Amino acid sequence: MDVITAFDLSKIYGATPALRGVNLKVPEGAAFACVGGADAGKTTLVRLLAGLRRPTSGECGVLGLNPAYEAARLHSMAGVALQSARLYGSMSLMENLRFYAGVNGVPENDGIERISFLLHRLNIWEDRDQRPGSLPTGVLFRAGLARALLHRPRVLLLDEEGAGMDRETAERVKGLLLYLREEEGVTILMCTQNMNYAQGICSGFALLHRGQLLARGDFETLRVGAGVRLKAALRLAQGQEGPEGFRLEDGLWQKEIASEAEMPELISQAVAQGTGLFEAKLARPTLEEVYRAYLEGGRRRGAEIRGDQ
Amino acid sequence: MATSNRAGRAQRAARPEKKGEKRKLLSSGDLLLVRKDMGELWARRGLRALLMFLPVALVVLTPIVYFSAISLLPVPDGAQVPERILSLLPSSAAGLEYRRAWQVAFKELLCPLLFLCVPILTAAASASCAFVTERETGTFETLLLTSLDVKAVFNAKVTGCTILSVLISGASFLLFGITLMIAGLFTGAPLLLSLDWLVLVLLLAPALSLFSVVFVGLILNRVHSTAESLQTMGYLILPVVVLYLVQLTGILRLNALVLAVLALALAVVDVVLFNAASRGFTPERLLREERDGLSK
Repeated sequence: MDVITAFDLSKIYGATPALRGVNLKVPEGAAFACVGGADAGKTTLVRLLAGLRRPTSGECGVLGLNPAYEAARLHSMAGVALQSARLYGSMSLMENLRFYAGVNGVPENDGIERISFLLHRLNIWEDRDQRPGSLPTGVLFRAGLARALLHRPRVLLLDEEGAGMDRETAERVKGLLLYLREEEGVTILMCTQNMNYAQGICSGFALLHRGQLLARGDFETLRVGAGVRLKAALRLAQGQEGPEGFRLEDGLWQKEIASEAEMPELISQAVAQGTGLFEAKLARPTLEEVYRAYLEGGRRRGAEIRGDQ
Repeated sequence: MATSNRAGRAQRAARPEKKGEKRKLLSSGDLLLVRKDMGELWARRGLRALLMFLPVALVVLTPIVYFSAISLLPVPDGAQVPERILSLLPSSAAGLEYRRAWQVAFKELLCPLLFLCVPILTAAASASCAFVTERETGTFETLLLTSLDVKAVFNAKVTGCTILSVLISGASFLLFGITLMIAGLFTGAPLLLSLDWLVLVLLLAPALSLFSVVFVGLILNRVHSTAESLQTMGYLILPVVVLYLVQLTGILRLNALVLAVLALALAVVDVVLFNAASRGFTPERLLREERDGLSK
């Protein structure tokens, strides 16, 4: 069952299109990432799915509900963490979370238990009596995530604008998201510029660029679609020439291969030739490389079309 | 197992009401928001000072200055209160000596105007903070991401600000009564409140409070800052000032019946404006400013 759907979803602010004809399907229990640059339309997508905006055209749904018309019901089953959604500056972190737990109808004792669990898990328990104004961005981002998870939602919509993810925040958030997916069965839609971070958490991806969907699917599908190949990388003895077809890049002799099945043969060939082989590894491309390849492909196709005309 | 039970409990609790279910006027979530708003408004030092100083200045200090001046300043020989002013006073004021007549005139003709400024100013100030400041600080978006319906958020905010304004108006009336009592002791003759005041306090002041709060909610999408919203207090006070000044011309007399009719008419306007403001209270309009710089 698809928990999050978008069909030909578009949003235009004034004369500026923020999202253009995006199609999306996220199955239940999946962790899915929408990645792209600063003007890709990620925040707009989350806002449309959260019911904070109405689409200009097309449709979207979360848990079978139309966010534009059933926002309150949706929010009782889905958590939304946006960096622009702030906490009250006049209350401490704990008071803020207890207020939002109460507003979401979470019984008081359950709320306290849940807050304690989330703050410990995100390592911000010590900051519970601080007011948001005195806390660093990373802690506020984690507190915002805790706020979105107070009522044990079935779906989490997370918008990470890339501003507040220090190393500890990134690790703690990643740990919690993996826990939510595995232990609580939460479906996660994450929008971020940080593609390598998303790659470590999610299994499905949508590549967005200037409001348009470039491609979507799992990493392998995207990699193959972008024409980005795996590489065999060999570390040889100092001054030793690499086998035929290999080129020296970043201190390693590398060669593009079609699949990892070619690796045993390449290694045995190198050994048979008497090469001083210290290390052999399969270099997988990153999501960022795949994204760049899609962008380059798009530009190439655009140039070809312009050339034809 | 325990985790899933807790999850179930939390989700059942978070379940919004279905159509056809009996709906309370304010749910527990709404009440929490009302309490939060009232507490937050009162916790703001500047606003609290304003909410305390304004009523004191209007219904305590101004009457004290007036009564002191009328009691202490010398009266020229043969000075008389103009007939036109005397004709606006209740029949019981006929034949009063000069000082006493001016005291009654102040109490009957100007004090209601000063008192009515209290619900208007306090309601507009608290609504400006509750609505506009919440949008300025980015907490409106967070509130709109809870399981509260957006209309419930509007209802709760209007309720909180109106209750606060009505409470302050009630306290102001008590202070005004005490001021009058003390003034009566000094002047040797008690200054009693007429039936008009009952209508003012119980009907017109609450109706004006609600009107002022709803008015701020109505113009919410047109103002850009709390300061800009506070400026609307001028527009709200102006009609009341004009009404009482018109009374001084002798065209009409604001007695209990006229005030009750005005309160009733204002209540009808309140309902109409409330519905209009509630319809315009949508996430799309509330978060409008962000979209200009957004397009992410």
